[in-house]
Amino acid sequence: MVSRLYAWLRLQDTERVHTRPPASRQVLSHPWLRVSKTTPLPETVKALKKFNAARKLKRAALGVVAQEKLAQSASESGFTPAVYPRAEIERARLWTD
Amino acid sequence: MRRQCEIDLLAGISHPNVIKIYEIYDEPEKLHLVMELVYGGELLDQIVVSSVANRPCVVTQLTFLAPCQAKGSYTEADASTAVKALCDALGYLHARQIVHRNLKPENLLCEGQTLKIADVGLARVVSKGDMMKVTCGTPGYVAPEILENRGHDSGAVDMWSVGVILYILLCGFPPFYDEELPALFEQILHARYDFPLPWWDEFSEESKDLVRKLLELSASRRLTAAQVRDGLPALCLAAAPRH
Repeated sequence: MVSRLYAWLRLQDTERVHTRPPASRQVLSHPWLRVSKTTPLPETVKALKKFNAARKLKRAALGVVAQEKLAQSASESGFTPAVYPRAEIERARLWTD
Repeated sequence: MRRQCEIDLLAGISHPNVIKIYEIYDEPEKLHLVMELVYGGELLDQIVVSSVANRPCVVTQLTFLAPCQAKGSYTEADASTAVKALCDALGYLHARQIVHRNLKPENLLCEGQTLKIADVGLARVVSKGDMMKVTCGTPGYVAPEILENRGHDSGAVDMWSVGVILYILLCGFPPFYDEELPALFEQILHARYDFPLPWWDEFSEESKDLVRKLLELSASRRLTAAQVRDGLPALCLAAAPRH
């Protein structure tokens, strides 16, 4: 962006009147980023509230599963987690790398 | 050492929307990170709290930040501000070959009105096993190429996550969801999502267009952070003089 502006500034005056200056970031961004609708979104907030609660519950539940898995490796009791079978945890591991 | 290079790279990150890492102590068994303290909590929580704040409600008294966050109702413009900040930071990181790889709402924090991305670059310094502990949760934000485990170390994986986050910022629920992981993976691998009515009624075609271009299966066709932020060449108003 800066180099484009610099290049434009280096143009001869006569050329410059016929070319427009490079548009700023604001103008070039995706069209949606340029519209700023300020209509309140109460339905979205309502849904988000539910979504946030679900996320937190899941995180807490997974914490329990992780602890149980840990206990399992310690005791070798042959415990299988009820929420996610081992294969699924292995697959989930894929997305960490 | 490679690890030392990665650590130097992380310590060198300086962007207003990325949580700053001040010091890194690398010990054989442990890695200690001293990071910027961010008070505002998660972005998605903040949206709910600040929207509730204009109602006389007990919830606001639970968080001492609510008074300065009380900016009224949440709007599409707020979502766009967040996405702009996100793409600005990702553009900066991707230009330095740093890929987050684990973008999700839990990693989007706020400090006042400023978005702060957490855990940047941790995927590169933390071992696979340790990362698993950090990332256990739903893989709903993960790009299809990661699930397929093909070469995926490009910024495009982050942009897919931005697509998922943008979708949630607009309608309040995720584009891909299933209690069973295999079914969830199927949805992601085929980009099987839609804009259900009536929830998507009021959103502009532009907003859906951006979601579609981010939740794009082909990593090479997916919009980059710089393209979202600065636009596609075709969108430029004035052709840049070449030199």
